[in-house]
Amino acid sequence: MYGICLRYGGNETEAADILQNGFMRLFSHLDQFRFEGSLEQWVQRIFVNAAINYLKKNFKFSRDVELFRANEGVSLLEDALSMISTKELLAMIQKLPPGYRAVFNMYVIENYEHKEIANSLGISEGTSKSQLHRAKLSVRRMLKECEV
Amino acid sequence: MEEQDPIADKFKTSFSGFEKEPPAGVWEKIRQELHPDPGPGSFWTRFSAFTWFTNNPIVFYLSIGGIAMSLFVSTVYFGFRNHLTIRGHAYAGDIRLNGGSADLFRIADKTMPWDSATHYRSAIIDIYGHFQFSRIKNGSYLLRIAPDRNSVETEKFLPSWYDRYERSDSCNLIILQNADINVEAKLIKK
Repeated sequence: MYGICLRYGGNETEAADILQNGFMRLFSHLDQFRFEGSLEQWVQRIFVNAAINYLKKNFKFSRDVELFRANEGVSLLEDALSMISTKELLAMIQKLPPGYRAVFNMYVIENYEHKEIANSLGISEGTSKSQLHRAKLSVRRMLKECEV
Repeated sequence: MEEQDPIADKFKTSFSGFEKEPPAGVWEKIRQELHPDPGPGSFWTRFSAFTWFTNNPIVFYLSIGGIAMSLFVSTVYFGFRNHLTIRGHAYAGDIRLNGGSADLFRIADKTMPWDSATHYRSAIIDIYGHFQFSRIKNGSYLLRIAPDRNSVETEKFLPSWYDRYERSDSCNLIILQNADINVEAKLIKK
């Protein structure tokens, strides 16, 4: 579960806080598990929700500050992508602004729909799509810098 | 059909099943939050018997010992609180009787004649004329003294009921009520 927290948190300290909150939620809601579907997925969902709540509490999604300028012209660097390690990918996610990071994680890795993301984060579907797009562009930019 | 995104695929593949051990201390923090230690607590919570004693085993065992000792002493004290002593001296004339026997009889009657005498205890009269009945309950008693069978005193004296009565039905009562009693009893002169 710490892996999930690392992806949503900007650093290990935030990830540890999310992990702690996640376990508190897990044990307080354990009696609500209905044995429908995988326990692992249910637990993962709890931690994702804990992460989202943490980000919502500490950051404002609608006013994310862009760390990188979205550049539509950045080309995909397949070599960089194939050589990059999981650790470096994690660092890239953590560099993203909280809003981009949350949407990116939820859409790309957790397979949430934009509607679901919007409901969870309290934003519109359009904002969710927009932030995903910007997140991907930011990642492309970071990959480009890795290659250099 | 959604265009394949290699970046998304890369992230998805890399983080599928991704897990990492959290830094040391995180689990302890979680454990603390789930099961907070009682800690020293407030002034009054320190006197919560169970947690305080389990944190102080020496005090716990000393307390158990103290309680047990108190119970023992209380049992002995209250158990024998009403057990009293009748003691005294037997005389043959003006001289202390040189050996004999003393018998105590318990009386249930409230008025004479004392018909309901029940033998209660016997004691020896020693060479100094002393006798003693210990752990006697509150109540009314009759006392009989007699010299040793083959002693010199039997030639001149008869056994007597306290004090110098030949018969038991009208002699003096010894009433024991929450206090020891000292009795000076005399034989009857022939």
